Amino acid sequence: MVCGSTKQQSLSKYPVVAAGIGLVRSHPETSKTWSLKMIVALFLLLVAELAGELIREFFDLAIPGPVIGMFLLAAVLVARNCRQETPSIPSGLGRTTDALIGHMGLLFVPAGVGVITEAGLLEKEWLPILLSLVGSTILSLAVTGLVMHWTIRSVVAPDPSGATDPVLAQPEGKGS
Amino acid sequence: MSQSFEHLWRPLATAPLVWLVVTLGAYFLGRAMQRACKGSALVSPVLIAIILVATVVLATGTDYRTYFAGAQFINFLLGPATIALAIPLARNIRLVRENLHSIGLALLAGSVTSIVTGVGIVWLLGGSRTVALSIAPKAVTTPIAMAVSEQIGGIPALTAAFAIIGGIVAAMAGRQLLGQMRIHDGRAHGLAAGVAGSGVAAAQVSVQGNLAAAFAGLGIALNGALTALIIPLIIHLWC
Repeated sequence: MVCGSTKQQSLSKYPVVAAGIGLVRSHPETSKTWSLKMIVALFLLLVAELAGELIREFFDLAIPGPVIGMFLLAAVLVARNCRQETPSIPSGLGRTTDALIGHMGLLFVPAGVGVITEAGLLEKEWLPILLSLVGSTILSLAVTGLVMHWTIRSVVAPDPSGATDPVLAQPEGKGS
Repeated sequence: MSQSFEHLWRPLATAPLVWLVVTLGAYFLGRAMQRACKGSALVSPVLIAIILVATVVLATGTDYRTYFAGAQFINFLLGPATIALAIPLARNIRLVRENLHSIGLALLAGSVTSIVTGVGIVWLLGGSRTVALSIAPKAVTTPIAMAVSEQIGGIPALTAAFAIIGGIVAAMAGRQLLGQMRIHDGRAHGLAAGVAGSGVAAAQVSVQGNLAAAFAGLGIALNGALTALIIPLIIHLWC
């Protein structure tokens, strides 16, 4: 891995190149640096996606390529600074991905409009669809919440310190 | 007047430009409407955008394939957006390590419940195989859900709509349902929202604090991966 500082040091041997970069980098936090960071971030995301697709093809897996790519990138980010408890994410990558995730809804509009080609199916089977969506979602919410509740309590249970439940007493939003 | 509109419209209708503008415009309008309704989960900007775009496409007599040929540039970003979920996962890896067995068990239980009951209810009520396969990954974040749906022979467009509506159900019911079951832990609320309702419910649960939001983010990323693994397995065993 080449860090930014070593790159700059080695560039000092080449004054012309350094001057050229200096022109571009005259204001360290200008939009120019941000736009470059954003493009690098997009490049990283696409490389991870491509790697995921290649692995899927190569091993003939049934998992979508982007899901494999997601795990690859997460693994790289965690392994990159494994000594820290919370891996530091490069600022450009963090900002770009926050924007992508924040507006993910926009991205599935084109595919969602495709329901117009399935109007007949929806008209015929609206009742099973509706009941399944509502029933299954509520059951899944309840089961996930309950198992989480039970297992977290059982971890905490051996501590008989107080009358109030430590988990319930813990204010939400603390500790992140 | 209408003749000159025809004259203008015809060459544009098959070009990507118009459909990109329509899609983005509809999305902004949907967001403005949600803001006007004080951020209610019932007013989903995505659902509004889909309805608006579908109305324009149908009203102008445009073929869906023509629309999609233009809007595919937006659709393409679904892949990178899925990869982007790696960042909240990496940021909160400490929470996963600390609560590994709770998260693992709750995730597995919630994921299997969602798939089996989703497919089961459709099957019991006499729904078709296509609808059952399209509804199987509906709890997962939409881009992954669509990819899984396509892989197992469902219809990705249906899955996208199901995922959004399921998310709205989870966002509306989540807090009250778990509250009635006397579950008040932000971690349980967050993970349940992420696993059962993905992005829509996660946005709603994040008002309950950073911890709930972090667990919702973990729920989305981990459930996406787990469901993508489990569904092909279940389908393989079933058929």
